[in-house]
Amino acid sequence: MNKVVISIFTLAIIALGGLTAYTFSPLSKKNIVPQVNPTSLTPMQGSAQVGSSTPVTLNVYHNRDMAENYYTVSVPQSWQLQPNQPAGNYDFSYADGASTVELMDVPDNSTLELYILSQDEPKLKQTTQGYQRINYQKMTVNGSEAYQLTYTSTQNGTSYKTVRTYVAGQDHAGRITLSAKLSAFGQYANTFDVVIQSFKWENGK
Amino acid sequence: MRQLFLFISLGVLGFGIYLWQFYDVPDSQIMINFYVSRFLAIAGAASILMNLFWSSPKKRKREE
Repeated sequence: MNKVVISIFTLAIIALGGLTAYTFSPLSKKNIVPQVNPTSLTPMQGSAQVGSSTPVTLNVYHNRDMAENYYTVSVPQSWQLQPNQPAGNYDFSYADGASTVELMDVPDNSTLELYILSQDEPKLKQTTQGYQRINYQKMTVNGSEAYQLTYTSTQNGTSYKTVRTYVAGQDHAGRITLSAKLSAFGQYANTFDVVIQSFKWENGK
Repeated sequence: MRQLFLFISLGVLGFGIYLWQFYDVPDSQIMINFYVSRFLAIAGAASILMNLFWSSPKKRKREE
């Protein structure tokens, strides 16, 4: 038998064994799957005029979790950041509701709008109690193409109004979901606008 | 037969490189893509090398 061929075969088997051991070891998860970058969780200070009231102090988060998907978003300092979120995501809670800023994977063979209407909204209808669409519109957020879905839902007998904005990006899309009790939504509307308009991709587009 | 084996090996290597470099991997499939793409690339490259260095018994006899 050919010695060189046997050597190549043996080396290939060793390499495949090494690859298998590495991929399924706990060590690999850290290196392969995107992890939360600690700098993403450290906010900088900023401020913005909300409506006609006095300026509100903002926490400016620079998300550095996934290459190609770096973004900045600002939220009022009073909003509580929830711990242990997946890479690229932020969950906030406040007196009358909760908000999420996250990265959404859009397949290359789809467009953002098609994905929203054919995948994301139907999923919302299935998982959200009392889902009722109020409005759907195309808009622009810091020069990026965006779509906004406004809907109401019910949770434990309380009605909520939610504004969900999708911002197209180079790789993923940004999905900003801002929710408040229907009765208190008016107080939050201007703040929500500030949060949405603060979303900015940091690597172009 | 040898050409067919080489052709299949090139296909395996090419598909591995495509999955590794060009395929838009959904977030939920990053791990499996990592494993499958590299597995195919290694297996394809090894098969091509084995094919290139393979000498048939007839050829060896002639060389002897």
